[in-house]
Amino acid sequence: MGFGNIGLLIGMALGVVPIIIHLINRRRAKLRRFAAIEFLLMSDKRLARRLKLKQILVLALRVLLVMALAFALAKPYIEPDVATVGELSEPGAVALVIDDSASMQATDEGGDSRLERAVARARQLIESGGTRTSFAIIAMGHPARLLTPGLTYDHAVATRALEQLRPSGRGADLEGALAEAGRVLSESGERERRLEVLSDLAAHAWKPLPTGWGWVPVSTFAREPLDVEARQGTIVPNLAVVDVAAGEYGAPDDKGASSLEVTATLANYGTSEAGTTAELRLGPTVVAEVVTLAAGASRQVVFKLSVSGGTTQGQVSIAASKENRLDADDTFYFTVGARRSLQTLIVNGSPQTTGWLDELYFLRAALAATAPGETPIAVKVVQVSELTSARVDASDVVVLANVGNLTKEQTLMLEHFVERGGGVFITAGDQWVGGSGEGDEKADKLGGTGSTVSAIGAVNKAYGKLLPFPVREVKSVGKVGDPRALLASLSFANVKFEHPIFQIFDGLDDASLFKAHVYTHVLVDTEGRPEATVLASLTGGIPALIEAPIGRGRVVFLTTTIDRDWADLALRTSFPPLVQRICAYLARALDRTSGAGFSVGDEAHVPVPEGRGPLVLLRPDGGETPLDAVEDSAAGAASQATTVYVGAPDIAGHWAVMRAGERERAVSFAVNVDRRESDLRPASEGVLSEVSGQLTRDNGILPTMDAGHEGADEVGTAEAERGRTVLWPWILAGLFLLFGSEAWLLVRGT
Amino acid sequence: MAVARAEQGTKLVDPQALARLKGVSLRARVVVDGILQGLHRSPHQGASIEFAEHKEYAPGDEIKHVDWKAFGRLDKYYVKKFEHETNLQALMVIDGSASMGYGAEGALSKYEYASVVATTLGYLLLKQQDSVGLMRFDETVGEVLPPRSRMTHLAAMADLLEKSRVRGGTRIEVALEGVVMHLKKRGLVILFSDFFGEDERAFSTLRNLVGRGHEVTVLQVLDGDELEFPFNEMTLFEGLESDQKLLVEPQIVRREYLTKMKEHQARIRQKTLDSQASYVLVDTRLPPGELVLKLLRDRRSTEVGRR
Repeated sequence: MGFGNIGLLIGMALGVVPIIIHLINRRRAKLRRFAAIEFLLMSDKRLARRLKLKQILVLALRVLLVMALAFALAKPYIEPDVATVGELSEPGAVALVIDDSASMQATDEGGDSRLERAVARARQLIESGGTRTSFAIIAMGHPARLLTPGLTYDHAVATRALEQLRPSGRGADLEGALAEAGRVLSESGERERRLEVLSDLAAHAWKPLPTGWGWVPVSTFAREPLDVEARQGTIVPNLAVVDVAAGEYGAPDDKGASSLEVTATLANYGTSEAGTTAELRLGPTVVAEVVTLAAGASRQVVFKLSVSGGTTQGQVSIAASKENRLDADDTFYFTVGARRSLQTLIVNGSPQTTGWLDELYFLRAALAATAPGETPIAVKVVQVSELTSARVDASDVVVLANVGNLTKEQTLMLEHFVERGGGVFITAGDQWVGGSGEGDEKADKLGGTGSTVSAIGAVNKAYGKLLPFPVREVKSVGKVGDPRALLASLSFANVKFEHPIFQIFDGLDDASLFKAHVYTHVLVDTEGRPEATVLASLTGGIPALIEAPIGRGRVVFLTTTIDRDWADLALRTSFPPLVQRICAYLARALDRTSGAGFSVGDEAHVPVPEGRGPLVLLRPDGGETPLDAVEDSAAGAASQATTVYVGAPDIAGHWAVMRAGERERAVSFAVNVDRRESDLRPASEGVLSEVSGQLTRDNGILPTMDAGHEGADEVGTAEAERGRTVLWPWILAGLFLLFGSEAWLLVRGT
Repeated sequence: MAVARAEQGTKLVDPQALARLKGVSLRARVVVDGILQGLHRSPHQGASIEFAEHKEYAPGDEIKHVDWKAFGRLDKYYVKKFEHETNLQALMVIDGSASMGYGAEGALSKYEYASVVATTLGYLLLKQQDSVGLMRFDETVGEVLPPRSRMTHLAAMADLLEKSRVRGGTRIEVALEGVVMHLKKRGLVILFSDFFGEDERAFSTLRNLVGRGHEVTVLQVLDGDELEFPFNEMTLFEGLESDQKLLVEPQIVRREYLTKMKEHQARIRQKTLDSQASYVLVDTRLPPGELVLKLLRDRRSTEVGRR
């Protein structure tokens, strides 16, 4: 059931008013001691009973009247139920979205999993469809996948697609699944387009869509909850290992054995205290600890042990129990071992013989100063002319520091590098305005001149699509350190703390990053590139750090310098962690946390093992897949360790990449069930209604339709509303009936 | 009884005025004064000794009782035989249960009203040399004053009625059984009760009492509120003899209540008459003096009817 004005439902609370009035009247009623009460009560008990019944009836009617009025004003309606057999037998296109995320593996008290019920229901729906009903099956587990070749009238194909649905450790990808459903439905010429979602409607997955629906108008949207217990208000209990962090805490001994500290975080999502046994397996070593978890709480368990140098794979598991209804999150896989340093190629656009004047004077120092335990960054510096394909391919990240010009080949080479998963960090500088090393003065002088404009044009042309936004002009308020320009200088004002680069600054309002002064910066045109994101802005909303994805890689652009020419950012203590994290982010090192690896369904880039020969992906189930076609970097003559794209792992466990025949040098990585799935609580009706509302309100224009077709929205909404059963007119009619009944009761009473 | 007739128009005090006076004896005196004012204006021809029959003279008979007219007609000595009422024993039986405590605002309660009427009657009876007693009862027989013919006995009666308080439920049969025990000779029994919570056994005991030669008058004492149920506002009624409560809008139940009340009165009246006793419905809004005169009139007419 949905509501047109759900907020007015709060008015139903006014139903207590008649009761309060009744109680007040009762208190106000005159007390009279009366001898002949027997004639009111005992002489005619039937009358007393009838009177009491009548009083209760009148009171109930009054309460109902008030509540029904508020209910009617909230404009209730009933969404069409998951299509009945009769409805699906009519011609139409049906996008069947089936949630195969990890939480769908949770079992009910009878032992059936939610996924089994979803598949059974989907099969039932397909069987009920008529010959003119086409189906598309979309799996909602991350990443959302279309399991049928688009819409198909062949129901056998649709049914076979259901067989591909397996219990998985994937997270839920509601937005992706709905986008896929919208895309598929947009290909249908049928007037009746239905979207059916079979899901447990878990709170972690069902949230208002950031972008709305925006696809083809659908005539029916139905969601069928499969978490029967949860919908009935029962909290489905679950225990999970939600995180594992492993780190060395002592130097290796003579035999190469290290002292390792493994911290496992366990959580209890149930409503009662639960006990379990946490077991750590690391190579041949097995240790266990009995743990008691309070209701709704999490707890860390620390294991300290000594491991031999060759050990790389570990796991923490908890025992199965009846308080543990989801098995998929009972084991957490992780890896330990030496980290490979990030290979960073820095192109110096403005080299200077005097060290502290050099463009990279601060950057090199900052990248070298990685904290113990963090991924070390190996730096190789070249000049623009030395930027070759081999050097780029051997790198994880390329930094273009104040590089004013690139050849066309270099640009294409870098674009190709990023598309295959590499990262490029671009910083501005005087070379962008044809500088000679006196950047700020040049910018001052050339801010609006014709030569500056032509230089900016050259930069835009040289960088091409590597620049997240095209550069418009260079803006300067004065020289760095000039006290007269200090007040006019800009500072970092708005930062996306949720972004991996800035997460370490979250909550640090007095971080030196925010005290940095920017005197000169480039202005960009932010139009026309929706995928680019401004990660940090200067005072006045001027973009300072911009990210844009290209293919499987990323580009990050700093609109000022990394030396002291245009800003004093490089002098700040926040500078080293900032540039380190930018490089780590571009090399995807931040995607993997604490050796916990990736989540099932995430796109994984993993380090390539040393040596030569074809790459092979080893699956946890023992399967092997050749990886030549997906290697990020074509191993050239100067081939060094780099990353390889291994796709989206579909199961949890220890995976590995190796050179054919060199299993002992395999690089292993862990893939885990998305831990957001451990929380089995259902989304609130309010959230579900909001999502439903988005799907109808934002029901947009068919992508293939004429964008100028003004009626599309209305048609979509009208079609969506057509399927509804509007209840409030009936409730209003019922109200009149209630009024009549109350009046009759009162008149009859007197 | 000695009072042959009483005229209307006497200055009888209404119950509201009486309620403002304190004490049963004072109230009774006021009522008696009002009654006597009326009686003094009437020709008083009654006597305490009345002719019953003739019998042949026998030695020892009083010469003064010889009927000389009969001797003239029949030439025989006949002696007049008289019936003496001075030996009449009257017992006022008053219901002192909690329900008798009810009275409309500013008026006498039923118990107070019954007390005034009983004391007034007692005075009149003592005045003509009859003896009067008192019995108060509720669920059991309470205080009892055996019949006496001394005028000082009236003060004891008034004192008892004034000091006693209404309480408990009503068991009329117990009271009437007590009358049998305390009234050895045939006499007059005047029962004051509202008959709330009456039992069938009460009337079998009443029949038994009448069967023993007692003359019984039943006064069903009811308040005006009980007879008319004049309430309008939402009221929480609470029983006097029980904890029962009922929150009700009076107008909703009035018709049903009045029907039931009338049925109750009719039943009590019928059963009383069936038991060969006299029945009088007493509305406490009636001036007590008027009620007493009515009782005297009724009794006079009953005696005339007997003759």
